Amino acid sequence: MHNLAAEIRTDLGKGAARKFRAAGKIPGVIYKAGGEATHVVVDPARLVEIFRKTQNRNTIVHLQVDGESVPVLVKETQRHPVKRDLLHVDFYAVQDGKKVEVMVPLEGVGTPAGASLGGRVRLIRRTIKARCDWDKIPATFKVDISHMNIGDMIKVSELPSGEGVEVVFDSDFNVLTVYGKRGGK
Amino acid sequence: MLAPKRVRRRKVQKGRMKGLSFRGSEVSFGDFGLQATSAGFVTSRQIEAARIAMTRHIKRGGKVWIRIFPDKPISKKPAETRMGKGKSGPDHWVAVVKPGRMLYELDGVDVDTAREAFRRASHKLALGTRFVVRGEEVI
Repeated sequence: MHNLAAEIRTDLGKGAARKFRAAGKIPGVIYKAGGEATHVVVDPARLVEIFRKTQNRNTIVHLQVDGESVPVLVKETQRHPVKRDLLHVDFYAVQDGKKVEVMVPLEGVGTPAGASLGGRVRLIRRTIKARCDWDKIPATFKVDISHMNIGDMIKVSELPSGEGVEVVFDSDFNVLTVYGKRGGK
Repeated sequence: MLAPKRVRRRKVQKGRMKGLSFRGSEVSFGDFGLQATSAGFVTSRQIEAARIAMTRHIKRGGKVWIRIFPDKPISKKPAETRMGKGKSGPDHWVAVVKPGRMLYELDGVDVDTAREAFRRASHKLALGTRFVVRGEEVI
């Protein structure tokens, strides 16, 4: 379980936000479906540390706000374009019984058969939208690519989603391919 | 060379390059990117020269994205002309680049090849640049 201390802030606006950043904190907001938003400040170093350890964008963080533990997803972050410091963070409070929609990374497992002919794997979509309970978010969608030859594609409907995980898509688009010149290196 | 097909104004004012490029500052297409760390104009010739330097280094395989477009006309007086007598005709096109802007992206090559390709490309640009890799930041 990843805990992160958060203080409620009443000073809003860019002037107050700049003061928080100068003091080594970053402003953030917690929101949830059908609820009011809460404005908070958090320690960016601790937040980055959590995600550096997990290497998972969809890690559930337990925010400690006013003595209460709130499980949240990091919905969006804003960064300085050059320094890359965190400027602001949006937390989405997850609720029991309500499914969440998250972007899950796609990962090909194995070496494709077409690799011996000079084929290379190209991820057409790096992340896939999934709908599931917040405690069942998969770290990645793993798909076996060992049978793939040059020119073969994998469609989003062919992805193996785990139990309780639904892959969300409108049209059945390609997500991964092995490319290269057919019949030679 | 890159140039607009048609424009609303043939000549435009010089303008100022204040602030940072908050948009177009992420690696969005490839695995590696060349990011500007200073502001400046990049001419269509420079954009093309940098692209050629990159593609010649990566040889075959790999894909290059150009994330800037020269849409600003720059006028220039003819040689041996006295000052005044109005603004001269358009001479070339430039892209206005602010710090943070992703200039090029690259995919389908290893990290060392990408780093060297971008190093060669950066010598063609009158900007400070930096090599960035997708996924260095989890959030």
